[in-house]
Amino acid sequence: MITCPFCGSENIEGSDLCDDCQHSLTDLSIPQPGTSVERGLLKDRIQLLKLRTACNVAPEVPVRTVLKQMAAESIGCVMIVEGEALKGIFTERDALCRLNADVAQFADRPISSVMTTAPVTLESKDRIAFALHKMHVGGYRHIPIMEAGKLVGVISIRDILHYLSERISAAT
Amino acid sequence: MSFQLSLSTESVTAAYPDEPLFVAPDATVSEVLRLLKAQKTGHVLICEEGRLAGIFTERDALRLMAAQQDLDQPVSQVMSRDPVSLEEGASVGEAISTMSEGGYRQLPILGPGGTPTGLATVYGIVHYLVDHFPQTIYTLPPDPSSAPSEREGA
Repeated sequence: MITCPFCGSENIEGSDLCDDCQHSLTDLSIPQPGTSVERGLLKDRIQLLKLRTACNVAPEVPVRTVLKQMAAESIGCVMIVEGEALKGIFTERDALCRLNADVAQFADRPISSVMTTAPVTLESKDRIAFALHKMHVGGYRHIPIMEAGKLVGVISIRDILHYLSERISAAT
Repeated sequence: MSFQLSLSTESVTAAYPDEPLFVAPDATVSEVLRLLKAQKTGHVLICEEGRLAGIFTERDALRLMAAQQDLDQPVSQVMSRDPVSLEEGASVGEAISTMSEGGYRQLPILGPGGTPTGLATVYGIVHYLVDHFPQTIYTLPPDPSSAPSEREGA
């Protein structure tokens, strides 16, 4: 049931016009952000989060070198960049799923043979809600952030969790 | 419709904890790696006599792979011993602050007697939070730039 905001009569769900007074009911179905957290998610842009500098490697670098670099710097993902174009991403999960216990066989191959090609990216001017949507629906831990086709950084699910928990604690 | 979100009162068990995956301390690292791949997860708990002895995660696996260490050694040699964990009664807020302070992505949840009953993960907590504003997140278009400027037919 939808209650008409103009005359108060009840209409069946999904009606475009109020049966009684013929006022339009279509605006009522537009979702409205209810809390300050939701408003923030739809208003704040990704650049508000502190972007982490992405760790870039060239596609021909051997797997061995990339693994060493990831372990030494304690990072979970590297971006594979050729020139200025983002070619792929290689994460801990790729290491676990593609290299696994056979890591010795892959050690001298180029990283481009085991990376994930065409990762999901977002622009730094996009809203945080989109980042949360992509990460939650896609199950990603990292999203590369672009600005005019150039990689400018990466955000992780922990940055988002930090943002959310701060907002929620501020709201309650 | 919407319910008040309170991080300090809601129990961490509501935030979609993962089922814990257990291995014995004498399992070899390569067995554990294959198990992780097969189960599509990034962490196992190592238990001794029903008590939590350690945790082995993707990050540990990455370190071993990078150092090209022997993958036939038992996992108990390379696991993180006595990991930071939560009691079952802990709140979601406590889980979040423990994670961000220590930089952890998963925290074992210990039941009575120190037996792990679940594993709080970043994904689970994000899922739990998104549950509180589904309309804001789930109704977004797949591409941020494709949001229509006008209502259809208007």
